[in-house]
Formats: sequence, C-alpha cells, structure tokens
Amino acid sequence: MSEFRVEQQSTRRQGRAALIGKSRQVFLGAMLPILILALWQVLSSSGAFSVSQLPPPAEVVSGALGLIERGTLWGHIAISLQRVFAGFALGAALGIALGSAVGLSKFVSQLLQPTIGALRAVPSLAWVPLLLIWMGIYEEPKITLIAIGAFFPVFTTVASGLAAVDRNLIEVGRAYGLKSIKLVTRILLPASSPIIFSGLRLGLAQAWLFLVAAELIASSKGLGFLLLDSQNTARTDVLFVAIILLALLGKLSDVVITQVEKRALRWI
Amino acid sequence: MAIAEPRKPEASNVLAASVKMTGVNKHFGSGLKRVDVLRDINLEIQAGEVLVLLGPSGCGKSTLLRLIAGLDSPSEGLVTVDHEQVTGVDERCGFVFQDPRLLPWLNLQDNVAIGARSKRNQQEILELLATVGLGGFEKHLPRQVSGGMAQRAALARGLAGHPGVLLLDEPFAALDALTRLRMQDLLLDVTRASGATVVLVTHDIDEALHLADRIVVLADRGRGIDEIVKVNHPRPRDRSHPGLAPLRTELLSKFGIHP
Repeated sequence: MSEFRVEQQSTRRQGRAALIGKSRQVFLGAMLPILILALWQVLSSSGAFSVSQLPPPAEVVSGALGLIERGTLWGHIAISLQRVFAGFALGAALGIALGSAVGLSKFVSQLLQPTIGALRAVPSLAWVPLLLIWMGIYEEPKITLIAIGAFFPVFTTVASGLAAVDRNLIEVGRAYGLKSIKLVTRILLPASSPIIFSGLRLGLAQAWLFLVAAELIASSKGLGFLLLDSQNTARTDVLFVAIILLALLGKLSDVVITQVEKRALRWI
Repeated sequence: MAIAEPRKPEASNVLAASVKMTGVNKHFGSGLKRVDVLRDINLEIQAGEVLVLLGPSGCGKSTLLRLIAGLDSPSEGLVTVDHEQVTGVDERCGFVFQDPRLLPWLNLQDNVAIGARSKRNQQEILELLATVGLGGFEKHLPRQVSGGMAQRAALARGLAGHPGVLLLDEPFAALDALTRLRMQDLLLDVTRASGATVVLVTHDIDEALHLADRIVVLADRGRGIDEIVKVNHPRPRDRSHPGLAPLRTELLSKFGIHP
C-alpha cells in the first residue's frame, strides 16, 4: 500500500518535471519571435523606416484581415498547398523508385548515375524557360519544377541509404528465404527508412523553395504570386503576410512529416 | 527483468536430416590472391546427431557451416542434405548467427515469424517463444531485451521453420558465462524436442564436450579435418564429470595448450 503511494508520488513528480520541461521549451522557443516582434514594432514606429519599407505589425495583421475579407487569401494558400503536395508527391515517388533501382543494382547505378549526376549539376531554375516552352504556363510546368526540386534529395538519400544497409541483415533475409521484391520490402527498405525519411524532409523543403520560384515566374494565384503582386502594388504589408505564411506552412508541413517519421521509426 | 521459466518443449513431427560433404574444397579469390579455406573435406553427419565443429579462428569452420546452409557454395565437391544436393539457401536448414541479428524494426514475435517461412501460425510462434523462455516478451523490440534474450529469440527463429538441420555459428560466444551455460542446456532441450540435427561451430572446448555426440577438429586454415572425436558420455552431462577430463586434456593439447 505504502509502496504504491510512493510510486504514485514519484510518477506525479515525474509528470510535473515533464510539464516544467515542456513549458520551458515553449518559452525558450517563443522568446526570439517575441523579441523580433517588439523590435519590429519599435523600428517601424520610430520613423527610421517609411511605412512602405517596414509597415508596423498591426498593419500587417490588418492587411491579412483585408485579404480574408475579400476572400482571396484561402485561394492563394490552397493553390500553393496543392502545388507543393502534387509536386512533392511526384518528385518523391520518382526519387524513391529511381533511388531504389540505383541503390540496389550495380548495373542500373552504372547506367544512370553519370546522367543523373549531370542533370543534377544544372541549376534547377535553368529548366524554367524550357518547361514554359514545353508545357505552357498553367499547372504542369509549376508542378514539374517542384517535382524536380523534390526529386534530387530523395533520390540521393534513397540510393545511398539502400547501398549502405548492413550486409548482416541482408544475409538474415537470405538465410530465411527472402528474395528479390520481398528482400527489398521486408529488409532493405525498413533498414534504410531513417535515411529515407531525412531525404523526404529535405525534398519537402526543396518543394517549398521551388514553389515560390515557380509562382514568381508565371502565375495568377498562390503565395509566390502574392509576393510579386504586393511588390508591384507597393503593398509591403501583404508582402509580409505572404512571407509569414510561407514560414508557417513550411514549418507545419515539416511538423507533419516529422510526426509520420516518429511513428514509423519508433523502433530506433 | 526476470526471464520466464522455459516451458516444456513442444513435440514435433519434423524428421532430422542427414548431411554429407564429399571432396569439398573452398577457396576465395584467384591467382596469387587465392586463399584456400577448406581442403578435401569428407564428412558424414547422421540424422539427429549433435555435431560440433571445433577449431582455431580462421580455420574455416564458419565457412563449412555456410556451405551446408547454402549461403556459400563450394569451389569443388558436393554438399547434400538428405541425399539431395544443396544448391542455395533452402528451407531444410535453420541458421543461428553469432550475433542475434534480429531485425530491429520488428518485435520478437515478428522476428521469429521471418524464420517460420509461413509454416507456423501466430499461436504456434507464441508457443515457440514460450519454449525458449520468452513468454510475455513477444511484443518487445530487440533493443528492449538483453543479449541473452535476443539470442533466445534468434534460436527460436532458427527453429521456427521446422528445419531438418539447425546450424549454429558460435551462437553463445558473445554471451556472459552463466547465460552461455543456460543457453547450452536450452539448445539441447529444444533441439531434442524438435528432432533437428544440430551442427554447431565453437572455439570453446567445454561447450563442445557438453553438447557434442561427435567433435570435428579442424586443422589450421586450408588443411582440412584434423580429427573426429566421439564423445561417449550419457546425457544430461555433468560439466565437471571426471570422465570428460581426459578428452578435454587431449583436445587442449591439440591446440597447443598443455595443462
């Protein structure tokens, strides 16, 4: 009985310690944004910058509210999210498929590596004019560009991850009769999943980068377009809204993939 | 964490398989870099026998085991299991490695299921885990259990596919002394119940004396079989039985140690 109470107490104490740790983490993480916000407020109201250079935070909020009132903000966010998702899915799928082939087969590796290495050396934005000529100015060239951006980090990490799987684990699979596809799905892919996930995260970050590039070049909707449009119309407040939204959405998508990763890699 | 008392081993209907090696040579590399690992091995292993391969490190005992398993193929000569040639990995053999080599992303139950090659349902896998003393640990991940428990799971995985021959490559070398003794007895219990022929590689003379019906002593690398010693001693064996002492002395002197 008393033992039980001791245990209960200690778990309560542990719970409190965890809570303190958590709030400390939140506090530390929030400190810098709050400082930046305060600095921003001070600088913008001190008269050192004009409103068109640095609008005060309140004006950025009202800029965002204005966009919401006109009903255009959700449209911009939705189309950008859709493009990032489609482009990332396409690029990551291709990256996993080709990366697996290169990582698993010496023949395919020798066949493809030089070409892919050369393509990779092309700065990805150099593809833009060609994509526009080939695919027009609608969704296809944008999604393709984002897919190109997402492809390379995924491809590289999958290829090197599969090639580096512990030979001993592969031998276990062989000793118990796993061959070809089953050996890949049951041994090689799970064994290299940690590195594949880090490739996916890099690919996702690249996808956001290329989204902005694609939307800056040719579009009439999306957060990248909002950036360009606000610059042209001298709406610096809206420009800030777009930048902050890109930061939030990029972070949010990274949190989502991190959660998936945590679940998938619980065994580590 | 206490390990559950091993449950009474299940009975099995699997027939032990015999192994025969005829004129087997194995070398790696070619030309000047050629290394002969095994030369002119002729060996017959009876069905149901416990055969221990003993020898200094680098003598090729692991390679011999891998040839039986089909993990490697001989450069010359013939390896048969139950009079059928071994041409690659097949389900007649189960293999236990020196390290447990469990797949870290699977729990113990799913790891054993890999070895079962779909020949056991989940209930039978749970029973097998209980047999090796891992009842209640089915859902644990490999990183959550001790080295000895992981090796018990590896032993269960080796037996899960109802093999005719169980091959073990220095399976207890990495365990602490007490766990090693316990595992040796467990091995005898479960293999007697499963009926499998056992071929075990070790460099531990006491382990060989405790387990073996016959001990095959391999000479230095590439020189083949030195001697085959029959251990005529009733089981269960008392580790300190004076009857085993002369044999121990004889084996020790083979490796250049004179007590």
